[in-house]
Amino acid sequence: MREVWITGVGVVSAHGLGSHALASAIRDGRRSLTKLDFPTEGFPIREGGLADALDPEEFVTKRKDLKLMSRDARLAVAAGVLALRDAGLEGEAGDDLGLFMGVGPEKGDVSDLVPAVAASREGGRLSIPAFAARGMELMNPLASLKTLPNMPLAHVSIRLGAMGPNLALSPDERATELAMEEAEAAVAHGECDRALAGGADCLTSLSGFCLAWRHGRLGPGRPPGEGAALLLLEAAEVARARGARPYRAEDLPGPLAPWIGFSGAAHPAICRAAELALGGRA
Amino acid sequence: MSERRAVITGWSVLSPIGCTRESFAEALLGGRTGAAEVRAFDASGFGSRVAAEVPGFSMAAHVGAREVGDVADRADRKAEFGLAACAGALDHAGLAEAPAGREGRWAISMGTGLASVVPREVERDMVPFVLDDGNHDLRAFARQALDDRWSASRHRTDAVNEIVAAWTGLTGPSASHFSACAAGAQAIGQALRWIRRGTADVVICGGMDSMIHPFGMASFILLGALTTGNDEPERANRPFDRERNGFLIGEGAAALIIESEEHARARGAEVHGEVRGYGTSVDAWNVTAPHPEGKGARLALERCLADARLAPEDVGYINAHGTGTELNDPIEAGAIRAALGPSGAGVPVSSTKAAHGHLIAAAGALEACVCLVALAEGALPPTLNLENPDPACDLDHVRGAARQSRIEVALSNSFGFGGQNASLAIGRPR
Repeated sequence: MREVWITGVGVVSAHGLGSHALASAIRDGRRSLTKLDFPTEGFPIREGGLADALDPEEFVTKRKDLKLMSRDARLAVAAGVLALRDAGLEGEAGDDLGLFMGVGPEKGDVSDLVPAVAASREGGRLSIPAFAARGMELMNPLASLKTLPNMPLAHVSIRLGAMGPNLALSPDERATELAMEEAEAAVAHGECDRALAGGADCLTSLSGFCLAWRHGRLGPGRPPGEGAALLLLEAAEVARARGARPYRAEDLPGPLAPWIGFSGAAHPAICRAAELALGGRA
Repeated sequence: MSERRAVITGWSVLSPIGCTRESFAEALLGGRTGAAEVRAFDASGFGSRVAAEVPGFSMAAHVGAREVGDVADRADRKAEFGLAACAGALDHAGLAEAPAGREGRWAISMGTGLASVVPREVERDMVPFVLDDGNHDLRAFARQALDDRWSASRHRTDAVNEIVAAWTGLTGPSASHFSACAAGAQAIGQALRWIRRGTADVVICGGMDSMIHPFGMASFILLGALTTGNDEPERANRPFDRERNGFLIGEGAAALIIESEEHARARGAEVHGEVRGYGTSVDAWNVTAPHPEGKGARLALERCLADARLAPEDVGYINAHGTGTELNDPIEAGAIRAALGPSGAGVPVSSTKAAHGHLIAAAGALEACVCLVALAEGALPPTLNLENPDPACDLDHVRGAARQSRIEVALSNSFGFGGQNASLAIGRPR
């Protein structure tokens, strides 16, 4: 088994972009919660951790790619680019770069279906013949491609040219913890020399929030959040050969959720990124 | 230290051509198809009205006395298929629950797909909130979504993992793979990894899916992916044929019990096959179209062969992804030729999707079971409706009827939207 180092950290959260922003916000004790950007009258929670600092256009090669990307995918792509940049491997990670991600549940955007459903009503009921005749053509043909939970991984692979071993596990933080373990095992066992591992999720959209609330993932001290973190895992012998230094972890001062929100499948990866950001490089 | 082998001691399918191992094998080798006009809903106005459905399915008939509790609130149609398949595979393997103290040595790895939506859910969750001006009453919708009447909570991707864990008492790793059409194969590949590394002794693995509902079919129709051969459903899907026009949507599930060889031998279990190798890749190209040179597919095949320590000439059969779409088939054929090289050019290939349909997230698991049938029966199932092979898909096609051939190893390909690819090597028991 090979020793595995973490040589790059890419993170996007309510505390900003990158490991330095995350570490300094934690050290400063900053609380980065703001009002949710959907109607919250009567809701049990009205604040969340939004990754407002993200400008997705900065991280895609073609602006039109954004049309196909959900919020989760935009967060993931940014985290992937930042991780390779942090490791000094942007554009040089090799096409056997592995990709192991925890992804959130299927979160359809209801607005994609509203015109189709509106055109398919007959007498207050949903009419399938009316859907076939009038509703279907009003569906966003790209909606399913945005909805598929593995699309964050797909977009990261396309952006970074990652063709290595891969996993997209769903639907919550346990999936991400497992994905990160599997990435470490893949590098340790020689399936690939480098792998990005982490997660992406958005619980600050209406559907993301409602799903998380229904499943008991949110509550007092656990407002919704969004974000992504991808860590570059590298075989120590490979990293050493290029003069890279590994990150070391430092304990967090406490749970992150009250400060940046709980971000579902992204959360364990963001917490790990925070530990590494605080610890810095060895 | 020698590598731990991953043997298959139980398997079960819920498929449009059979819900028992025997009926599935008979239909597969007999060249029968489950393709028919859609029965699940009135699809008469749809551009594609053909599907391969699992007829007369009742989960209760498959799970026996196992506790399913509030399953209707936690599981949709695909999950019910998944539970039925897991129950069948556990029964076939002669396993019921993890022995006390060994719970952490049992694991589960299942591939799953998008929500199996029924129209009444959309009717209840959306219709009341669509305003006459075509907008949506977001506030009213959100208030309902937060209470217990929102159907989305019924579609959890890991519902089957949780229920099967409760059945068996397993506490080892639980993975819910979401990699579109590669999910079922990746779930089995993960099981191989866990057995080899010593993470688990027993892994329940497979895949499940059902997209034969108005919104599922509509999403594929809008992408131009489904067959439009509505006039002759049984001849609609034509993998590798010049006249291919899209894939046949299917539904169902398959589950396998994979054990370490020593665990299986120690309990005297019958071994039906072995997962010899697994290769995976991402196209890193496009979310729907395959890499134009088939690079991702070739990498998955090459990695699988290397992982299994097999030479191309060791391969006796390939169950292709073979969707019958314009793009997939020639690119997959090229990838097979490139990965296997000159010595692999004569390897028999078929796609069985014209028989059982494309089971999406369950496809890789069901097609691993196709390989088990081929190994056990000494017969390779044919590609149905392959009358005029496309020269761009130049392979040794098994067509017309099953081909008698005793083989040692079969490969199975699965390629998904998003570019994730997986190849499995399934071998005869050694």
